[in-house]
Amino acid sequence: MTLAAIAAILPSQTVVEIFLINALLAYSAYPALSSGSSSFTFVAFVAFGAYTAAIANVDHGIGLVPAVLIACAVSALGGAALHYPLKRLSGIYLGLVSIAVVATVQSILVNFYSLTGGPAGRAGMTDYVGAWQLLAALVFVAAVFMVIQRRHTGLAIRAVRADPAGAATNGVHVERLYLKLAVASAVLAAFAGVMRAYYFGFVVPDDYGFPLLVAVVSMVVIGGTTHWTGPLIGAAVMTMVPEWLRPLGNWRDVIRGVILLVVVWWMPQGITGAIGRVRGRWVARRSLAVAPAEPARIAAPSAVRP
Amino acid sequence: VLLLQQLVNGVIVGGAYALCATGLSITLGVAKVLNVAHGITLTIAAIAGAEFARRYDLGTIAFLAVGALAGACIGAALELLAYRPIRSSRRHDRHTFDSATLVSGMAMLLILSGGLRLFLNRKGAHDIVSFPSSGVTKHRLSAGSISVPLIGVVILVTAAVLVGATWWLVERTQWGRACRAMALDHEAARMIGINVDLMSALLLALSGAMAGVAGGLVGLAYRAVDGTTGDQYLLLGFAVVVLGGIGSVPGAFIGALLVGLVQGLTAYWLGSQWVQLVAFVFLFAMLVVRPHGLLGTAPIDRA
Repeated sequence: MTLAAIAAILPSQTVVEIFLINALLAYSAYPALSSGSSSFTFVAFVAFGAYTAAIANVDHGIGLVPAVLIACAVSALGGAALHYPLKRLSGIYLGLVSIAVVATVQSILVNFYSLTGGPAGRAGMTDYVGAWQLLAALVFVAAVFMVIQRRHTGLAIRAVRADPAGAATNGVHVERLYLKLAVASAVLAAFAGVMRAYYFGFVVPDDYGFPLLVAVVSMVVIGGTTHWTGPLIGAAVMTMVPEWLRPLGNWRDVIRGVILLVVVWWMPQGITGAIGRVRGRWVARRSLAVAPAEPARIAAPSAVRP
Repeated sequence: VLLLQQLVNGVIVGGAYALCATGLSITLGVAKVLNVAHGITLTIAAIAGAEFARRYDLGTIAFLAVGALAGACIGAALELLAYRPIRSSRRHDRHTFDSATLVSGMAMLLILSGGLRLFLNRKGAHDIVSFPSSGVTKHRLSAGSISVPLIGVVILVTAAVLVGATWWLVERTQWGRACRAMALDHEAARMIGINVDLMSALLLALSGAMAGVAGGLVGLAYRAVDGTTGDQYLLLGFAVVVLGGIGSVPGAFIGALLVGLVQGLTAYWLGSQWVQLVAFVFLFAMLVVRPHGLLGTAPIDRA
């Protein structure tokens, strides 16, 4: 009985693999979202990476590593190029236009039959990646974000998120930081796209449009955009929960929406943000008990995240 | 002649885009939310109208009214569930408001489209809701060698009347004055006694009602609506909003007719599958040349 219950909760290998891909995708959305910008252009680069991988493999027999290098290099340039027309937009207008970018790319994928295979996409890739390659890729990406968060750049990102003008006054080169984040996002997205294509063995345009955008953004938001573990936690939650809800069939989308809504209501900084706040409060209270002499200085960290 | 016919078709489609995009534009400009659930509102309202019309044997006008009512209810629900909790939450501030409303809009989109799929699956195997034909849908008016379906004229007239009425509301009434104040600054509007929450709810309901009418008319014109009908209207609505200028009602109308014409010309020269791509190319060009749109005003810089 208990064993059966545990077995039902434990993910199968496929679910773990899907989680790894989702986490890679979530990390590609993270640079933009963690700096407080609502740019969703990463989906365009995910599509680019996936199609590059598929076309290179099917038509030219090019393997995984060259595909990653080509896709990431081109996406770095593409990310920088796309950054310039978009940089004067912010907030909700940036969101609108970046959704339009994603729709444009999808419409290109649908229309250029000869290269992209049109609505049917491309299939017949000869190489695949398994769980171990995906895990290695994810560990690498997560480690990079962990290091960044602890270094000066991470501090600059948090400052820009809180207040771009204030960050600039304190010596953060805001323009250059946004450019770096745009390039990082594009490169990671292309990488995630290549891995996704290599995992599934085919690409179809419907997988690279607005639904993917909503799915990945909801992972990052649920996980939290203020801590490097956010995308991991969000991807885990949004991969596992729908899996547990599989018996409910079509109710899954509704429940995903409800979870997302509840998180945005009560945990604007996602799960990691909520954990950080609770921990900050707890640390503050304990410190107060030890050293009541300096309440103001000790209580302050509870307002910012650790 | 075929070109002229395509242009006429384009203008008619443009009318439907105008109905859809005006709501998108004023919610974005005044309530400051990008309503990504606008497309699904259109779809659900159209399907609700069709279901009611079938069940109670309603005429065209009543059918559109049901659609408008359904759209208004969904719009108000969006405000209450997705946007107001964020506007009034002390956990969100101006910097996180934009991305948070986008995400909660996406959450509502998931809920609504999931709910719609549940409803359609319960109904039967197919996802397409067909619309009853009536006198309006069968008639065609012909002038010379081009012919226009009567429903096309109805769409265009309805769009002109409703968008005109919205323009009048926004530009000529006290309510509209409050809207324009909100477009500038929510905090300042609140300080001079404008009920920002109530205004936003009314705006979302108005925008939803217009989407509902648009959905009903589109359903009548094409005789069928499926779960993804609204998506194209949402995406091309974005193009219209950027073309016309955010928050500008006449801009949305002109932008929608332009997008409709572009659609007609694209369908004539390239084929209809290229429409979206061409419309977005226009959007990006517009963004580079004149980022605040044809009739929009440059935003006030608040550092």
